[in-house]
Amino acid sequence: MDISKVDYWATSGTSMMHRASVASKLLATASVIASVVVSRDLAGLAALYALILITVRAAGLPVVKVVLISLFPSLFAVLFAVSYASTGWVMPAVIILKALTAASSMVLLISTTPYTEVAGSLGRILPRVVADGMFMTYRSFFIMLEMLDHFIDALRLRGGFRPGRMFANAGNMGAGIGMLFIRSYDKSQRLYDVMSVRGYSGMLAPPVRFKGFGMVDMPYLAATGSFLLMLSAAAYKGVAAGFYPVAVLAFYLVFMEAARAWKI
Amino acid sequence: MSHLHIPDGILPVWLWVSGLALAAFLVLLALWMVRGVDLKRKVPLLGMMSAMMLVSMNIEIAPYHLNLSVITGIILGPWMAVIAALIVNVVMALVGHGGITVAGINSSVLALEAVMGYSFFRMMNRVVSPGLAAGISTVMALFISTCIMLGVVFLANVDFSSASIGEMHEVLQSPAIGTLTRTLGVRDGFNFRFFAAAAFSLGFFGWMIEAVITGIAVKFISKVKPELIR
Repeated sequence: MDISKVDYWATSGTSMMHRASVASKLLATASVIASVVVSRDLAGLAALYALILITVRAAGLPVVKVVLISLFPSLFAVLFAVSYASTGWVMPAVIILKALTAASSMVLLISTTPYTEVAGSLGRILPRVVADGMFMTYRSFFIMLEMLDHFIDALRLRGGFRPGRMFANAGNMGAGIGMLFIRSYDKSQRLYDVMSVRGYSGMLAPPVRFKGFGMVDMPYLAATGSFLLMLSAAAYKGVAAGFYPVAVLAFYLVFMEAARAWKI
Repeated sequence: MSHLHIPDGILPVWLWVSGLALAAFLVLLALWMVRGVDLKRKVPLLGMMSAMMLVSMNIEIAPYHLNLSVITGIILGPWMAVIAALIVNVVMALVGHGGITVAGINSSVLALEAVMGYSFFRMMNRVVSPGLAAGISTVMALFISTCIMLGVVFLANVDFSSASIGEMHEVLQSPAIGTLTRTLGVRDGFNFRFFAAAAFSLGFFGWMIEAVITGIAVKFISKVKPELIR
């Protein structure tokens, strides 16, 4: 998990996916998650995963790094999958694909949408203190990350990390984390004072207004919506989705590669 | 193992919907419990502590990453820690670390871990030093949360259609795991024993690391800034 890297991709990109509205991306991500929940079709899920990877490439994101980020949460899915090993290879493969597809769609969302916009959209449905807490967590995360980096550098320079001395290392780490907690507490008090001086009245993340869909919203939204329809219909009938997902995928690949080449 | 890395699409719908409902209930209860507190003043601290939990999750020691849920509960108090648990899990789900559909279960387990850790710490701090109390509280809270996690996995794989009302009565009379598995039956092909053994062996390693770090951190804080320890 590297939130700072993901944040950089979200704020620095200019691709079609970056320009698409938050609402459309949230809706498309919800379609992917719903498809993953309803479907057990290995080929259909593989096609959906490929669709996400095509979108990642079209958004100008590093495909390998995005895959690596989405692989970490799949470790637990592997544990699940191994527990189903006696049923053959299909069920474990479906479990791992479900995990990869859902995680990649979330990483795609957050890598192409600034966190403040996502938090603002979620602020419409979450209690105010939770929405503001999410916003403040995001702001504080980078401060804390820098403090942690400095602490680890200082610890290494002073010989606080030595190979093979696990408990001594854990002890030094514990004291350092205690210090970080104290510093974060002090910082939060100062932050509140500064915010109060600037007129903070209890609202940090104003809800994002829905402005309607544009052309840039359509490709990903239409593709994920089509997949949801196909995989749901197949799951309802108890059959495989067959050739249709592959056909949609091929059309989507051609369209997105053309959009990428012509910098649409 | 308290933070469930269960991705979307694995748990049955009824289970994750129940998890979301439970998380919503816990957050509403927490908001009601802190209704007298000036939340506007608490938001920066809430953000900082949630960020601290997120940052600690970046510290990976072998296959385990820290959670710091117990120390967060001790510093923030149990009800604000419940809100922090929800924030952390939503942010984690947004970066693909654990599913968005299971954010409810994850938040509930992490929140319970913080609340239990805080409660155990309050009880034990009267008899032993703060550092030791925090270490023991961490092991106890993480052990219980791992058991809850295994309960979730068990429920996800139980075949409820195999049980009759009479058999369910037997389970309620003797709610041991053996009776439960014999009566309800785990879905064909799922090896719960293997899963539980893997979770406990990985979990034990994690509990010890977390307990040592939390214990030493609380010991440090109790010496330098004792007013932070509730």
